[in-house]
Amino acid sequence: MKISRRGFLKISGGATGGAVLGTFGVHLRTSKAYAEGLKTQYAKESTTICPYCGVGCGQIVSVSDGKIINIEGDPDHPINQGSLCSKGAALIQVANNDKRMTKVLYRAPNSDKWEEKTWDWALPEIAKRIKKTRDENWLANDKDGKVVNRTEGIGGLGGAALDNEECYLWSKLARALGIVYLENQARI
Amino acid sequence: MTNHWIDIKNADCVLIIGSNAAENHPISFRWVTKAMENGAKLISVDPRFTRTSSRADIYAPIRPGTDIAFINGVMCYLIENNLYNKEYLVDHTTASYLVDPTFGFNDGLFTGYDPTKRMYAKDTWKYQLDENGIPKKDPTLSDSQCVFQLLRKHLSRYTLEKVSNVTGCPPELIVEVAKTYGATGAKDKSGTILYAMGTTQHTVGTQNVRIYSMLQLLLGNVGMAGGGINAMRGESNVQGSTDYGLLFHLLTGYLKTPRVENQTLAQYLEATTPKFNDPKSVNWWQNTPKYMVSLLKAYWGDNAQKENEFCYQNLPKLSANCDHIAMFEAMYDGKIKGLIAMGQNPAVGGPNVNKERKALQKLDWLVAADLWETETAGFWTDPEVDPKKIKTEVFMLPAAASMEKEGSITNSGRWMQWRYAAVHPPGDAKSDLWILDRIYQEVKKLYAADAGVFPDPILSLAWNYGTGEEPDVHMVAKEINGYDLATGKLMAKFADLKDDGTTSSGNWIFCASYTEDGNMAARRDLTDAPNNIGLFPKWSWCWPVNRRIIYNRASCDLQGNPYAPQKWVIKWNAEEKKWTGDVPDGAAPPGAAYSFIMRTEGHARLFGFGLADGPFPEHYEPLESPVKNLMSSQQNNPTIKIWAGEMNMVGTPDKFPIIATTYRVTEHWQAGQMTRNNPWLVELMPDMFVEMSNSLAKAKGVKHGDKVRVSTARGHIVAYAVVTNRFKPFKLNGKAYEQIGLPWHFGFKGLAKGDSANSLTPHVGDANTNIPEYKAFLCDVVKEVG
Amino acid sequence: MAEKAILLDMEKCIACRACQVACKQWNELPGEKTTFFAAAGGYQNPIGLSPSTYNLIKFYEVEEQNKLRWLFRSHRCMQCVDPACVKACPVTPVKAMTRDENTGAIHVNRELCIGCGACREYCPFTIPVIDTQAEKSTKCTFCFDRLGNGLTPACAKVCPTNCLVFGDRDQILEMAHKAVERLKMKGRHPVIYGEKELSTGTKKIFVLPEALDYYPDLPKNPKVSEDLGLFNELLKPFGTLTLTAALVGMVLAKIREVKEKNEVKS
Repeated sequence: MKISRRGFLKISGGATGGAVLGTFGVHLRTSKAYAEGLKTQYAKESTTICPYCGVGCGQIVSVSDGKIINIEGDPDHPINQGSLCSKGAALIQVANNDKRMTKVLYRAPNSDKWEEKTWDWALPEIAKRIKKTRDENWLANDKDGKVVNRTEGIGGLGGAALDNEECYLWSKLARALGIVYLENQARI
Repeated sequence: MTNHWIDIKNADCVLIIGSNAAENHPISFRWVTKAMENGAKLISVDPRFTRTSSRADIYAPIRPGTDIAFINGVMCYLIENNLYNKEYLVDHTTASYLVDPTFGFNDGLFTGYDPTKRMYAKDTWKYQLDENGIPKKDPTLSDSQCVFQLLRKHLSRYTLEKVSNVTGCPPELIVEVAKTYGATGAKDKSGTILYAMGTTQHTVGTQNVRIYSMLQLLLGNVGMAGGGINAMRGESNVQGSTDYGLLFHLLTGYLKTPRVENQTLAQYLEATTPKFNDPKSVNWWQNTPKYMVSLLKAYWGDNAQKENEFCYQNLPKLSANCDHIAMFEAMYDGKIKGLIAMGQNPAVGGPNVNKERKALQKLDWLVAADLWETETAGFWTDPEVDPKKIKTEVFMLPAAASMEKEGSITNSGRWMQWRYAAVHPPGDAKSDLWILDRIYQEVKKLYAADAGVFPDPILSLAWNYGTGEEPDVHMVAKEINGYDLATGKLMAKFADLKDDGTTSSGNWIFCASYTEDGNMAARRDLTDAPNNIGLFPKWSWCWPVNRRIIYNRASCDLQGNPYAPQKWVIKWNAEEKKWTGDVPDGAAPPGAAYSFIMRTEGHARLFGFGLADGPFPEHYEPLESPVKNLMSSQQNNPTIKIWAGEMNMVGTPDKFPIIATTYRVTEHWQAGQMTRNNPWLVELMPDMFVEMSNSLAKAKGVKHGDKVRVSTARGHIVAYAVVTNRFKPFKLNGKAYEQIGLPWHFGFKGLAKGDSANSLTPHVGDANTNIPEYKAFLCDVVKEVG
Repeated sequence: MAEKAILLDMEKCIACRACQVACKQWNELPGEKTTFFAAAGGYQNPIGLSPSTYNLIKFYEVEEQNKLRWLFRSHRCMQCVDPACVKACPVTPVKAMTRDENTGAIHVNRELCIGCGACREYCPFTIPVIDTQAEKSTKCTFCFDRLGNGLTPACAKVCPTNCLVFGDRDQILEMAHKAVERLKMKGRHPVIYGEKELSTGTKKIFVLPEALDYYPDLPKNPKVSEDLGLFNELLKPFGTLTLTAALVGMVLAKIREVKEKNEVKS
């Protein structure tokens, strides 16, 4: 067997000698930080479970001054034993990310922009829409007179990204509202 | 999963089919690697050569949508070469049951098919019963009407040549897979099957899962350490969202949603509680009334009384399927006015997203809770649409991430694991628990002020989770576990639940998770069980009743001796008269009760009379296929629902000759919002791409890195071409058919944007579950100019 | 502390690239803006090591006699036992490219580094990359801050399949030889890389499941350039204060010029 070395180098490309590359941010650490010892030394630690796939890997979250400074695999966790995949290893960028939603946003009919709102405004408004749609689209009986007690006017989606306790309340609330179009990622 | 992640290490052979575990569940490979270090073989069956295939001892390529033909071919080989586990079949499955002689099969159709309804009348799909109403059996498995012989006859049509021509897999590879995996049919060996959405996302998805189960039963691999049938779930709590009934057809704990025929609680219980005459069958679902009444008590508390059917009438009743596709069809037709999306992004993840995005435009209002501005919340910012023409009001609610709130999630191995809040969510972001609680409080306020229609379920709902700013998640977890209402004590186990209203449980399968002894999900004790096979019974908690390997009675013979003493799961201690090891599937002594306690008849069902599309798995082509079905004149699964109407075009091979499939990659996740906003992951995979073979690239004049346009009958996308030897055309009946592959993570929002593969996929689902057929459809590819 | 090493048993690698991300997480390196997959063979990104990327998974797609192999390799500083980069570093009296006394890790002291590039010039694997903006050399630090505190390097800790294992070098070599036996039994053609290379070896010990020909970007016989001594001689007269990156650059250019002339002559 023979692979042409030149041919491969041509297609694989070589590393550049000197580089200033486009990045999504700046280098945060200096050699000084290294010299001072472990960055997680005085951090508060808590355990969590990775939010990505269904393996359920344990992670340790280190917090300093109210900010997450490190997330890595929980070495005691019997499934992952400290290891993680690239997604799990990148979780800190979910916590500290300027693209996270931090405000309630509202988009009015036919508008081309979001408006910032408060919870105190949004929650009663949402409740009004739920009640109006439910009341206007209520089906107490089907065409044969059988009791069905449901609304087909409201749909509910999601749950796989929620905690169990949240799933439970979502399921309970949806059924109490008479929602039948209730689905989550498990179907797709 | 019947088993769990660590248990993969106990396997003698790992068969990964319909999944790409190395890429989508990388930590599974910690345990696959352990198994391989102990001598296990790894088989990867996949249309694409993946990072999983790169590690495999055997890689067998099959055309998307041909799993049934492939596994039927493997099973046919095993039976004809006497490579199956007969003792297991007789003792633990329905192989010996005699089937009614009126049952039959001809040219792709089982008896009872009604072409106008596209449904089967199942009156011939039944066992022969004796005078006590118990199925007749032939333990020699020789009676021509026994399930085993009928199965054998059904499989005999799946010859190596036929299977090769359907799947494109060379016959010698089919034999190699059959022999290698078949070696786990030895009594003390076990093999595990790892599958995922490559299995389920087909018009025959349920039967795909079923054939894997049947293969496992033939080889005696269910209930064993290193065995089982293991669905690897793609989201951290998609197991939980299923367990908690966030699906139209299920309430919590897999209780069925009431249907219009179930007008009263008594009618509901009569219809959903199975009866069986054989005293050795535990028939666990006979307890349905206890679980249903306990659920109603958890929902409506003191208002739920025997006199008012425990508020049963407060539950909505179904008249038709309301699955994901049906929901978006109804939305597109203007029937659904409002939508609440809790952390789901159907504008990228749904099938036929051009239609689903259009459907969102028909809504009066949309509430979306998420960490990010998703393509769903921001559907009206799609560069392809004019927001001024879209009437929908949108409420975008900022939600907390996993490490910003406290609660539990359930992994694929059914482990319920507790996690803690490390920090506060950013800005005004709130937990979904808080959001749901506040929405309920506000709705209740409105109904208290103005009754509207049928306010009872809302006003009388038992909903009290403390007085703090955040609802008390422990109070919710305790309600899920349930209470003895007389003493106010937490229930210890679901076997104690009652149907008289004296107990409550919000989800019976989680009963025992939060008891008077504390929060079981938060446990961190690494002591292993006495069998030392990695069960870790004191680490977190798993449903049901902390049983780590379900159907584990089938790991023993009828005397209670483990088939594989070196990796025993449970065994009978004759002196102490009890089982040791894992929590057994029922405490009854060996031989006193059948092993498959969740099956009405107590035996694993090789004759699947409950399925919509037939008791035995039969190959049908995907809705869009380049070839005629070689197995029968039924081209497609005859029982799938065909959605007519706008934007549901079906492509034909003359215009769209290339097979397409969609998939996920390690570096991104689902609809992408959790990874396409993450700079490190975007660095690794910045762009939408399409993978294709060298031969297809050559034919289309495409080079690696060119932009190409992929079109189907539903739409088109543009993506970079990855030209690779990992993709090869399939040879079917002497002719080559090309396939392409598309990751489906991309959308028009976020740090990394790209066209959505689901612009191409059809609105068609599996006959049993309506899971969409994302994995096999037809397309064409051209080089994008300019 | 006994001499430490990392085993890279690449047959176990699933190219999940957790090590690539964990390296960035721990070292707080930003994500790079990349496009598509410019490198052939799979999903490699970025294109090479950089001031923001100390560890990179490379993909190799090889097909012969209808047998397709998709091989992976972690590309990063080999942590030589006898590091030429340290010898080449002209910063005195304390070297900027330095060997951590406690852990033996070779890393860049960013406060001392002048970004001259001598370390890269004389690295037998051409690994260090000069951050031209900050004027610093950059490369894998062997996570010496973690090592010094009893932790495993971030890449080895995160690895799902134990393809990467951290330990004492003699034990790691023992594991490498066992891995070779295992792979031979499977009909593969394994190679240990890093045990004897450069005569004293490296602290990244690769077990490659197939012959070196499959990894054409990995030097078959890595060597330290013979003119390292000359370079050191030429720079001897300059003290810390007069030493600049430009000066070192001129010296390196001169050496290259002479070398090229000699090559033409011969």
